[in-house]
Amino acid sequence: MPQVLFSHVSKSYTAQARPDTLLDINFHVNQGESLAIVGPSGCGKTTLLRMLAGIESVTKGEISIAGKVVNNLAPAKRGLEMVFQSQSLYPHMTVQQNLSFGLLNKRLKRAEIQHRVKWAAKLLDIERFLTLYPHELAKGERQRVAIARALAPQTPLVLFDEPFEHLSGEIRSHLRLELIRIQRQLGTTMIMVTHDHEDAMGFADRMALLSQLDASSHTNLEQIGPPLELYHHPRNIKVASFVGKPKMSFFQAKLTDKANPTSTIALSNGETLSVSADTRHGEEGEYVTLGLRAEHIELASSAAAGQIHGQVIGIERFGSDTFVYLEYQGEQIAFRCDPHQNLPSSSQLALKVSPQVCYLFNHQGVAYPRTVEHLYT
Amino acid sequence: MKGMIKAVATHAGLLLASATVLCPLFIITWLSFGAPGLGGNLATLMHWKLLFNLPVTTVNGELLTPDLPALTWLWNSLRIALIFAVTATALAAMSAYALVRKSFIGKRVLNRAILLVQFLPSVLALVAVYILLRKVGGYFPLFGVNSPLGLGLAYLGGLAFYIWILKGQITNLPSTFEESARISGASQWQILWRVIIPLIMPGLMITFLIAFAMAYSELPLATILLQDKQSYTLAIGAGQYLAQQQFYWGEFAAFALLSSLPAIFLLLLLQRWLLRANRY
Repeated sequence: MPQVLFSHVSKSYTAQARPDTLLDINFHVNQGESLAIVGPSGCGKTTLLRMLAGIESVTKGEISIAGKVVNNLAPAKRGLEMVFQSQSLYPHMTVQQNLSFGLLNKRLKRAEIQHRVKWAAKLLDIERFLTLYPHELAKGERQRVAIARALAPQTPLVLFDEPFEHLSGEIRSHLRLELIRIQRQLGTTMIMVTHDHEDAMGFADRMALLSQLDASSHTNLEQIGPPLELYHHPRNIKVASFVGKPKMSFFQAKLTDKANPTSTIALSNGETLSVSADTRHGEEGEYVTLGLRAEHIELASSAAAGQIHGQVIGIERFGSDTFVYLEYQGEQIAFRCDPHQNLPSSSQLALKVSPQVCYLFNHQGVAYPRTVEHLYT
Repeated sequence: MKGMIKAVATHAGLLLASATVLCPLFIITWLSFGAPGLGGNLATLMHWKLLFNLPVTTVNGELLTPDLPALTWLWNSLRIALIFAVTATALAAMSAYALVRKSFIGKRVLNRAILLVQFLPSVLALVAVYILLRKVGGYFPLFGVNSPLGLGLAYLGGLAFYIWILKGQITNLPSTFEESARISGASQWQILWRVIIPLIMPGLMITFLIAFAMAYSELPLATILLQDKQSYTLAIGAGQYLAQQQFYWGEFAAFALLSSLPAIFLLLLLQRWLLRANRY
């Protein structure tokens, strides 16, 4: 039995017939699993989480927790805790009082409360802050306290609403790693909302991608699955462009030979490319979009061997990686090259790609199945 | 050099401003001690003694007995102001919370109307309030005319203003505090008392002080509703020193000083909360 089940859930803030925020959301979360809900801002991911927590009403459909429909159940009776994006620690209480607030409401015995506060504080390494007030702590420390407060009641489900949002790089990745460790250790089901695909891919067993609801879509849950499945087999352009960094580069092309497992497309500069994709359901002559990830583009040995020629607009050198940004027919291309490689000094670079690594989308942005064997499935 | 001129000018300006403010206070204090130095007057505690109901013999051997119950008036004012300030703050806090956070039919209209009500000059309703309270007094004598509770009830007609002050405070409070408390199983009352109230304490204190100051020195309603000399508040009472054939300036000044003490004391007491910055 899944821990959490969303069944045809919709959410509307206006009285229109068609829901305006979330439409027909269906997914489940298993016990002990970690799920990240990602998407651009305004896609309704936080609303989804708040509906699960019970602080936002459900317009249509059913949400179940542990097999029980909870649509009309008070938040406190759902057996979950939540970590909020912004400050939600009570500023007039010490860390200790903050941690015990929820436990006191549960009418636990004094000794039990003390025991759990200690346990949670140890888990997040905040024991030395117990007597301090939230305003005496740094942002990262405050977020640790917030996480500890959510874990102390030991509910089977814990929700996180952009928990790392206001944290800077190092503290952020450190806390993320710790959360992964804690999740493995406790086996608690955790659902995290984030707009950062790194947080999502790093943290979660599975990832759900929401998009902004538009007039034509049937749902705004674009895809749900393990992070690498979304990375290697995105269902459409929205998923492909959200997952991965730098963003996938896109090229307009025309399908010249629909086939399986290798199709042929023509780029607008006349180059033809073989692509490992099953396009049997496509139409020849149809406009398609070619997607390429930064790590799949290579520098061609000579200008003549290049399939795509772009104008350099910027280079980022990170030591472990070097990213080069080019402009090609008004579009931006990002590609990764060997940091030890000497880049030609010319502003024009010739690039080539191998057929296995391409992503192909039809004119509506829906992906053609990739036919590469060794890729993650 | 230029900086020095500026500093001197600033200090001079501030001193002048302070003098302007303190001058009336000085004159009142001086008057309360018999205006020594004016026309051969000597410093005397006579006015203060009269205020505290102590008989006084003047230099001419004349025995003066206090005839106005000053302390009773002061006590009446204090009592009414405290009762009103506590009630108004509590009611305003609950109303403001509901108006900001709860959803109910007519909420938008109510939110808009709240200040509008305040703009109707309540003085014009004096007669209506008087008649109303006389009727109420027929059933509940405690809330009728000549009773401090009745006056407090009439003052509560101005609650909209205090609700409006607190509404701003609660609107500025991030709702995550309450949501978090709801998820961790706190009841409505617990959320109000353990989360909201502590967080809007500075606002509550300000509301309390404003309500106290208003009720402490309010005149028009008190004049109409309190007819019995023993039930007067200090605002009506102070007038008694000046309204007769003779102006008792000395007693008036002493009374003014004495009656401002509780208010100042209260302000000093609550300052701690007023100056505490919100930390969220």
